[in-house]
Amino acid sequence: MISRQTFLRFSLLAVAARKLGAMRVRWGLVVDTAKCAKDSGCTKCIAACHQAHNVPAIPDRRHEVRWIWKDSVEHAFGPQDAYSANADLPIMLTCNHCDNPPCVRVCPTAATWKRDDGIVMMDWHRCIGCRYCIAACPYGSRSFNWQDPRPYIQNPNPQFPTRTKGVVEKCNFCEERLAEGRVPSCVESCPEKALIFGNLADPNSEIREALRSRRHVRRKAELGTGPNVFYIV
Amino acid sequence: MSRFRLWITCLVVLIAAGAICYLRQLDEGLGITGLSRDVTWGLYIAQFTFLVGIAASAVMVVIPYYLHDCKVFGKLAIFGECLAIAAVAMCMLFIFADMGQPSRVFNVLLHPTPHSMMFWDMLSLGGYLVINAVIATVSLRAERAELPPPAWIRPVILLSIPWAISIHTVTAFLYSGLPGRPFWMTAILAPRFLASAFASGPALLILLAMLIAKLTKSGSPREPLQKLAMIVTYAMVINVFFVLMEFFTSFYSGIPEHSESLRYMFTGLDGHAGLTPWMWCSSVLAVASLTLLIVPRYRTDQRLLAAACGMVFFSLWIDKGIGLIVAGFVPSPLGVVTGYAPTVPEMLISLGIWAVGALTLTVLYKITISVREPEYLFVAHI
Amino acid sequence: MRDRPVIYCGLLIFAGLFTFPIWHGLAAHTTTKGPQQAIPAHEKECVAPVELMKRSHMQLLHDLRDKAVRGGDRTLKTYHLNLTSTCLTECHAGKADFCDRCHSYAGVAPSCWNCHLDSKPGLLPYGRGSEALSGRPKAYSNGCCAAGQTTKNDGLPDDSALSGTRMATR
Repeated sequence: MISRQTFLRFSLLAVAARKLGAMRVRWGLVVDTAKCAKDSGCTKCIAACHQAHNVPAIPDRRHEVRWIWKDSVEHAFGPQDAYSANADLPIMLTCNHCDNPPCVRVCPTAATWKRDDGIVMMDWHRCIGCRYCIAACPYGSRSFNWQDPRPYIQNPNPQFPTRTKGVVEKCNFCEERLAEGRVPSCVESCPEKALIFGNLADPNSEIREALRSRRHVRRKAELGTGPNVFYIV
Repeated sequence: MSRFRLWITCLVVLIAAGAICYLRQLDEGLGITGLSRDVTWGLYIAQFTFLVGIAASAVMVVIPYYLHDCKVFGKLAIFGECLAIAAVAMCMLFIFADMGQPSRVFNVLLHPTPHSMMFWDMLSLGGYLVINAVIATVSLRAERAELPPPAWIRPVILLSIPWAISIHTVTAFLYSGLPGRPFWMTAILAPRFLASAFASGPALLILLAMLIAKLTKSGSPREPLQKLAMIVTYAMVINVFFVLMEFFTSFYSGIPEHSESLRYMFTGLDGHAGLTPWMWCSSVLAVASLTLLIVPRYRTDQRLLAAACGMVFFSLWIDKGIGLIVAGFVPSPLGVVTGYAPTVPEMLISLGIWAVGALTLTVLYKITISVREPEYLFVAHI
Repeated sequence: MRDRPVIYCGLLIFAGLFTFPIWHGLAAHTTTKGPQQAIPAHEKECVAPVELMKRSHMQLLHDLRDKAVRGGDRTLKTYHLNLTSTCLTECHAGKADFCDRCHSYAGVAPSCWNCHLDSKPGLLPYGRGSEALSGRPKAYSNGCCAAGQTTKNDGLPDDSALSGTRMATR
């Protein structure tokens, strides 16, 4: 016979666990590199993202602002051997929304933080533009506004603000679309359906199925950052 | 116009030029500097890093005098503390100049984030400024009244010792905990910072003391400066040793990401070799200065000592103030090499801030010189 | 005694400078009537009592901003918190007809509009926007006006090719 106290304690724990289990969300993204590389010149995800979020198109490479970009396998994953055919293949790169993000750790004002649903979020009202997060990011995912971005935004999207000079910005996993139950712009716009987005905490989700069935890697996983963008190789 | 007035005028002109450029930077953004998406910290942060070292170096006079009763530093301590005040003021100005949204700088205090090293850096620098200002004010006031300073100032001075070490350790922690920057991810960064601080700061102090002695025609500060020169020698030897240690681990291990930044600095990488003349200059100056400092016959010669101290200062200024920060961003996390060269507005703003520090130092030293009798500026009454 | 004319002149100039606000205001025909902002026709009450809004709408906006951005909670009564798409679209006519009425009168320029877009066209486009359209953005500005442009409420037709939302700067 268990005591009344023990019974109460266990039932409370069970309720709590079920509540947590039902509500837990961890967003993740899978990039199928083979599908992405089918059309090496395709930049539809970049165009969709940058249009939706009023990302400026700055011609000077030194002042470039980008939320998504395409880069070679060598740049994304480090030195490759000389024998593979695809070292120059472009793949889509973005913020990895790490589990253990160094950018969040170093931000002196908590202008960037990790949400409960896994998104590493930015508060552009609070950012002081110290660029410490850019120094900390091991992936080159963050951009700084070296000047006012507005002259470089051709068709502003009224649903989303622009940023101002002197703040850092990066991919936000389209959190404003997620709040409305829609998938991120990049995922929606990919003509090859190379991007899979979903809830990593749900074992029955499409993303979990993809990760279970296909071999995949992450960028610089040895640094302990725990990136949540996976690349199917 | 007297020399003094000419000096002040020059400083004011430099400050005005810097201020005008800063207003332009406020208006147009940091794009007017030579910084880029890959090299996001440059001259401003590099100067800040170097000057934190200078600020911390006051401790090299305080420790012998207050902890070990080394009486010969008795009159020199105040000069070190005034130098610390000017240096910390410059540090804060450089950080402010580097910020994208400077009007929001108080967010660091309004929304404290203890897991960020920059938060602690701001606190420790602010505290160090206050401590040194209090010490300098109280000491000078007591001297002017020809009374011993109040007893409570001694614990404050003793507090400044670990505080000085901590400001530069925290500054090193800004860099040495970043997983994405292998050039800085070394445990020896903080010891290296301290060693170079304890070489460059006292070297500057020696030069300043010699200059003041000449300008005020006061008693020769030979003995305290010789002791200080010994400290500079040891610190410089240790600093060079630490740098050589970096070379060994990077190149002997053969791991590319550990050696690429060093190769960028000394031989160039992917066609970018902008830093190489600077770094080789720094190395030559370091070796030359050590030769002059280690050999007693050269060190005791005042002119050679002055030359050696100038070489130490410039060598370490290049090492920390030009090389270290920029090379940490090369190559970028994506393996791309992007060069960096400061633009004219950036250099003018930096010069303007250095001029603010020089003006602060001039005012503080003038006060000190006015309080003391010229013959006993550096040596105690017998 | 020779100084008297100089002293009187100086006093006159001082008095002129001291009373500058009064006679400048008279010349510009400003009245003490106060600003009149356009009130939405279809809503009966503000999101908070009018007196509270007058006194501390700044604080309220800050709190709602933190709730929306940092808390992830964009609900306020029946509204979905979004400065441009909700506040300036559903209720308030737009920056010029609502926010600017009081702000221009009081001479304050909040920095919201550096980032947030206005919901209405009709304001002059941002100074350097025309260069962006021609594909040649200027690298440096031509003075300090760029960041501090005031908006004009005279409803001039926009003469740029941009349609849709204007980007307000202040």
